[in-house]
Amino acid sequence: MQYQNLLNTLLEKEIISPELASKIELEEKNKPFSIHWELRTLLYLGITCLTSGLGVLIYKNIDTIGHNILIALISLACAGCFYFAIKHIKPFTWTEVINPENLVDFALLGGCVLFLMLEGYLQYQYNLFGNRYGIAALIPAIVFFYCAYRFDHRGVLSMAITALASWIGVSIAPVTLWQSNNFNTQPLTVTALALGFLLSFVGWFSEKQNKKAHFSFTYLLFGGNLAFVAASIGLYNFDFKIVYFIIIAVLSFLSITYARQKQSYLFLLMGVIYGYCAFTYGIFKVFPDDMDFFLYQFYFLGTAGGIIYFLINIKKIIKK
Amino acid sequence: MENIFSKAYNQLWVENIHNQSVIKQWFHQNKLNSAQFEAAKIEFPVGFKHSNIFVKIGLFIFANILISSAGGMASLFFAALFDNSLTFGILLLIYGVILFVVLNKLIPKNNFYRSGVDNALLYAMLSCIFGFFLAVTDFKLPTWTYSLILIGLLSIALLKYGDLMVTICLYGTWIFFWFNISSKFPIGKLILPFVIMIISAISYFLVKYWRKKEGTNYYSDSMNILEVMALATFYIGGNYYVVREGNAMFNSLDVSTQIAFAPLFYFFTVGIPIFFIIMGLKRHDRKMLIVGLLTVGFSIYTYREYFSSLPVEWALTLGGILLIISSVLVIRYLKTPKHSLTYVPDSENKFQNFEVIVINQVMPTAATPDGTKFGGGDFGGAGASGEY
Repeated sequence: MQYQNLLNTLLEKEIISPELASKIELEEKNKPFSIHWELRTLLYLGITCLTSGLGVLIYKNIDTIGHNILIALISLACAGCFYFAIKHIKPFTWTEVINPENLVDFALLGGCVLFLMLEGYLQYQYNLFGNRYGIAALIPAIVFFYCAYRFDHRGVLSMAITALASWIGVSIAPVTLWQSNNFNTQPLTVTALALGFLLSFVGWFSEKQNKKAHFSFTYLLFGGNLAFVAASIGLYNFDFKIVYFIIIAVLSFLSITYARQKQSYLFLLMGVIYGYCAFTYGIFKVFPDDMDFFLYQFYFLGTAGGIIYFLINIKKIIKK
Repeated sequence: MENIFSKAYNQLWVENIHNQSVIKQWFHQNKLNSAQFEAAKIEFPVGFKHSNIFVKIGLFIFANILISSAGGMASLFFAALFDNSLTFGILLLIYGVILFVVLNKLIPKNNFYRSGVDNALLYAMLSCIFGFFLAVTDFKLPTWTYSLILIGLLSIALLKYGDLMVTICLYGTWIFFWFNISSKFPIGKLILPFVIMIISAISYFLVKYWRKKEGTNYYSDSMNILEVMALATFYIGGNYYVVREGNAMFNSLDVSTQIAFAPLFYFFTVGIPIFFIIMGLKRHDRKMLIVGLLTVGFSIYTYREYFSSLPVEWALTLGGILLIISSVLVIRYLKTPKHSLTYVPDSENKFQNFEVIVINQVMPTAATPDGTKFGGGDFGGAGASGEY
């Protein structure tokens, strides 16, 4: 066993007493096996399966008797989830709330997903909001933002951000953001860019004001990526390339500065990669098309070398 | 010059990475006081450059760009030699050797350890050298010889660098080699599932034996990966779906038909995951437990493929309810440790921020303005749809 060698060394060097060593050894031997992550993952998987299955079931069984029962059951489950969450609610503060009841998080998440499903169904079946789809999309956003802050739940916050984004018409879920290029018009791209900036600002602001500071990562991650992707698509597809280019440069600068301040290297990576792509695109737009192959290679050699140097020495650069 | 087979990274430091993490855990669990913690940390020095995972990813990406553009530039000078596969192979070998020298100079100089740059250099170097073998032999040798060459090459790389990607490729090639050899003979095709299972089991116990030897902590991550892969291939070898479809493939059947010894494979498909989960929980072996849970998913998929007429949405709904109820019950039950199992996490939740990303990706997303049918309409994605 690994820790026995370790304990022996610590004993030999007289860092710990023999009593402590045998106490630690005993504790290690009798330590229970934690299956925290396995159970958590299974629970998430269960919620995902259930909601995916129910989503299909509702639409497949519309206009049958079983259907009403189904809707009643979903409403009941949704209410049950919220009831459980409210029962264990903690008083509101602007700091992080540690809820000892582990399942509250899951109940709230389940409740929110079911709420979304019910609302979608009401619109589909009874045309509740008529053609004002905007309202239909905005309501979940409002409810989720409220729940996220009241119950202190980052997962629901991310759902709220997604709902807000879909209200203005962009899909923001991480993979979808990349896959479906849904910024096909300039106004939509600009809107997405604005939302990205807004979200990033809220993230930065909540950290600065210490109002739910732990939410800032979620805001910055979604907002930052949205802004970067929107600006990049603007750069590649539309006119006013120089404007988009400058926006990306500013974003890169901001996210690298932020990363240096907070030692949050994900934002460093984002800044470097989006910035590098935009810079490379810009260079090849400016240079003539029939540029020598050798120069292309030389460009990549030089820039990649430079960035590697930057990343390796990042600690030194940060300390300055 | 040092022996080219000697370990590339400082062995003591690699071992101390693990020691440091154990010490840190003990400190957080208040088993050590801070004076003891500080003294113990000095006792197990780790001199590697510590860099964040995202910095490593960035370094890996840009090191790859650098390596390929350097190769591209060099190729311009030697373009004339590309027509002949022998000279092309030799060029690859030369580039591989250069990368090898650079890699082994950079590691001690920059105190790299899985820092992205060294990973990129290693993989490029290995690809060049394997490319050399392919080119000089003009792809004419039988597949199994190439597998053997690759196994030899990757084994040396594993012993020297203890790299995870190399380990994964090595095990993959190893299994492929047996698959390839065995499927050459009519009798081999018949007993192929058993060959794979036996090779997997042998590999598993070899790794266990290797782990028990002194001074193998340098490879502990590689050994973990090998154990997981051996368990997985052991299951896959005996899985009914794989065997049945594989059988159809070998006999070029359009529709797979019932196979010989079907009950035996039913037994494997059901029994192996259960065995893994029970043994994993009993022996506190997380690798076995996780492989067990994943293989349960695949077994359910296998069952649904051939025997179930339950529509997928019903299966998802009922399966979801079952999963939720059972995990909630187990979580409540294990709040205080029982049967030496517990729901209390080992360490603090470091991934909270990243859990959010997964939630956002997997949960049904909100409405889009154009849509009438929104809400949970689509399949959540990633893990969910494949499982049932």
